[in-house]
Amino acid sequence: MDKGKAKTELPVGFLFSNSKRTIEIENQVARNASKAFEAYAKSRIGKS
Amino acid sequence: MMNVEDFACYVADEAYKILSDELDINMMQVRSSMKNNGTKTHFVTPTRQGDTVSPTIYLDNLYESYKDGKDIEDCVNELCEVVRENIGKGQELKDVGKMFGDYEKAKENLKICVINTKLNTELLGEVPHVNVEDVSLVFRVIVESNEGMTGSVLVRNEHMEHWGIEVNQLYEDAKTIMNKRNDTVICSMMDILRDYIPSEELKSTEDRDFLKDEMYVISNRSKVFGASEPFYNPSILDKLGEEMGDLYVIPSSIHEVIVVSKELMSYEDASRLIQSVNDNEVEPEEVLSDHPYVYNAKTHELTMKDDKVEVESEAVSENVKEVNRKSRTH
Repeated sequence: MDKGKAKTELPVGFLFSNSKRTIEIENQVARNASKAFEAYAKSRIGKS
Repeated sequence: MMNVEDFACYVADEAYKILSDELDINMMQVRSSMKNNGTKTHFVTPTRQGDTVSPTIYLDNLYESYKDGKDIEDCVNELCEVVRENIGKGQELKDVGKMFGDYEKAKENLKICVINTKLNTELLGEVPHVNVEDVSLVFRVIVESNEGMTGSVLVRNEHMEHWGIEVNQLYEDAKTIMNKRNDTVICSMMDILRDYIPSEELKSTEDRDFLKDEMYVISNRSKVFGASEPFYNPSILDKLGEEMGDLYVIPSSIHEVIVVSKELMSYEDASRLIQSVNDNEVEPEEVLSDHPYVYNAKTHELTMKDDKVEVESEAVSENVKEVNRKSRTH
């Protein structure tokens, strides 16, 4: 797909703000770590 | 090609022009904040009169798309779409203000996270932390929204000043809450990968048994910021230590660690593997460390490396000098 056309995922969090304080609330979303896990697993599979 | 700061200001200005009347937005602020490992993130906050909570839309992915060739007007339109989807949401989060005004409320939602010390010197100057070997434990307060979003707030020095507490108390309270929450998950790599690696790549029963019985992943139920547990509570490794002896705790990312027997590879091989995976498969802001940690099954301690490795490192250095001398004589 043309990179220019693909929709970009924009992470969203929240900002709390009153007269006393401003607090950044980061959205906790688990990322896909499969490639890293696969790399670690294969490092051993090849040797067994 | 604009730099990221100019890009953020441009798309925010254009989005404001489009949306100010449509959504009653009175301001579209552009901010940046320091994230893990020295990375900086840029975000825009559209605000409406009377809203205590506003969405923050992080623009770094959009900037990457712009650099990859996305038209700037398409970037503006995508930003507008996300603002429309999220403006007005999260108003129930205004209770977070009360939480941060009262430590007794905040401490029930504390979470311990772990980050690399050397890569975060600037950030660590702004947050309470506890150093363990070459990593630092920092603290977050978990916040849940009505719409099922789980967020977190990094505890900063100004919060500590307002609460009137020291880091020791924060640390002890966080450990107590984490133990009570009992959120740690230890599972075999086989269970993790069941859905990822095609079965033909698991060549033999021996491979599958290894992944089932000799390689474990430690994290939490949310799989976010779950790498801290062995660093503040190494006793979670005791049972694995009884079964497998001394262990390597491999810092897969700030979100999880991988545990294997120390017999399986040398410290140098483990370090090279971690560095390779970090370089190729882990986002820079999620890297935890570039070497394994050693769990001693007898002393139940987790350290950066053991004495044997230090001696081996000297031997490696001598070998390297010899190889260099020989190569120069060719």
